Amino acid sequence: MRLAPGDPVLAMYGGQIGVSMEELDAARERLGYNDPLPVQYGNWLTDIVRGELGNSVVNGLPVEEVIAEKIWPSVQLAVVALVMSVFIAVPGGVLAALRRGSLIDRFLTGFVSAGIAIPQFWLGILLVLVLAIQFQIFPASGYVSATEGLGEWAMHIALPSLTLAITLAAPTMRFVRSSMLDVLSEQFVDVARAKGLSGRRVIWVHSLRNALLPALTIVGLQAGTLMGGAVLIEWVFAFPGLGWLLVNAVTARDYPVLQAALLLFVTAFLLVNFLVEVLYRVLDPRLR
Amino acid sequence: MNFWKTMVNRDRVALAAAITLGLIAVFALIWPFVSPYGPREIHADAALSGPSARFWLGTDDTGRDMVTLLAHGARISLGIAVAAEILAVLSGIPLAMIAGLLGGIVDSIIMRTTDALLGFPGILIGLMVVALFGASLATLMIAIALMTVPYLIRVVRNAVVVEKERLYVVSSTALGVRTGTLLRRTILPNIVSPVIVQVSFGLAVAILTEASLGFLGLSVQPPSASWGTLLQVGYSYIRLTPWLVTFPGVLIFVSVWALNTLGDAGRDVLDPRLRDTFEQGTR
Repeated sequence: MRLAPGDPVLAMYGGQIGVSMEELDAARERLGYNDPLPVQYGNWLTDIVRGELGNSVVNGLPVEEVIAEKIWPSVQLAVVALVMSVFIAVPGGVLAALRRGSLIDRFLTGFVSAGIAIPQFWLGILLVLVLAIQFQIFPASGYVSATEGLGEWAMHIALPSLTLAITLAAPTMRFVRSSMLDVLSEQFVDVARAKGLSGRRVIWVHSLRNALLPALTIVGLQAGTLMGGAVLIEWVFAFPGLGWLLVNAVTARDYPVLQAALLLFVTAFLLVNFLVEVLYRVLDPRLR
Repeated sequence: MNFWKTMVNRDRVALAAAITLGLIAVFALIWPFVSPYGPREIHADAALSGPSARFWLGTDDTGRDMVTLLAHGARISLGIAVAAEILAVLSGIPLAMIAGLLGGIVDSIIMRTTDALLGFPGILIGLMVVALFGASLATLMIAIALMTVPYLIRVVRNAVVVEKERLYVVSSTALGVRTGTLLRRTILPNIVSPVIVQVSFGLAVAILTEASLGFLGLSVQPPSASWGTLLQVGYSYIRLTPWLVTFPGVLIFVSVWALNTLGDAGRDVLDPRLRDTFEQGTR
């Protein structure tokens, strides 16, 4: 049921191939692009089930090979960015909630509204301008695998993941702050204090645990959108991941790659959403 | 309108946002008439020149005046955003009303489709639509409308579900008022404000999306220039002329911030309970 949005669209790609102009008629016939749409779609589906995704139109390599080498960098980018964003958002949100109305709260609230409004890829560009071109601390683009050198890997992944982390941290911080405020006004916090627990323990153990649940939903949603949200960032930093591949496939009209990449995005997205739901139930026994 | 008055009086940040948006709109409307340069006027001798007395914000790679390009780009970017939102409102509100009024299986179908669209990363919807139909003004509008309409449908549908139980609607029905009239005359006026708020957020999303697709080269094609395509050109000369990629970005950033702020402020007025949850800016 949840797969519904993907399938009709993917089906229509079959139609687009039929009308694509650069394809020669012979090639169309050979590849089955002249068949009626439902037949094409049916063939595509059976191929998928058999594990045959076809070859890239651009370089003739099997699609699964083309995609497989891009998955790993994308996953690394997503994980590093999410971890960084949580480490920015949680302490920031808690701090803002504890010092409500103070200068630091205002500063962090300003950070949140700016972080939400700034176009992610433009922030990336600005970071390139300052940290890669002006001060030349980090390389402006590219990717080096960790096996070729951990230092190089970290330098290359730093800017794209920092860009993602800043924009991801903004909404999370807003949620941590507001749910922390909610929790702090609840009775059990007073009870914990009355029991003589130290202020720090009340905040970081008792309150935060309850405050983090709503924030977890946000992080989960972000993990889901990151499957596609990194498209622009990967493009800015010429980071050879799935998003970069997807944009290239769109501009080059490489339909086999495009179809497979989109299929992968949808599957990954649904999978992440499912995992978040499970995790949510584990962390909040009330939902069971 | 009373709604906006309350909002702006209560919130100075919202006032600043409204003024900012007004200034950008005036710039887009007026500048093309007072500019000494045309949007396609090429000064080959001054290509990629920096900010100067002759070209206040410099020139692009073909030697066109950046200020003029930004004004024309604003017309295209904001025009696409407004058109997409009109499309979203015209298609979303009837659907949402049908879902809210009829309930049952129609409601389920419409709302599940919306949920699916909502959960899906926006840029992917944009890429898919553009990949399917090619990059054109119409495609962009459809793609953007598709991305923003789910929020609109959800808000309106929930409002209709609440409103239809109200005494005034029930009594109108009892008096024999026809459903169509009922929708237009009684329910519609009551959901205008949430729709305006949602459109404000929608416009922000629309501007961001156009900028993203333009940056990937999938928006309007040269010599037309939107804010997004200006970013694309600017980025390819980032080492030579860093200001080219900075100015369009500033305009996008400021517009999106202003629209989000107005939307937040509007939501605060509509539902004061949310105020604390979504408090923004310095107040």
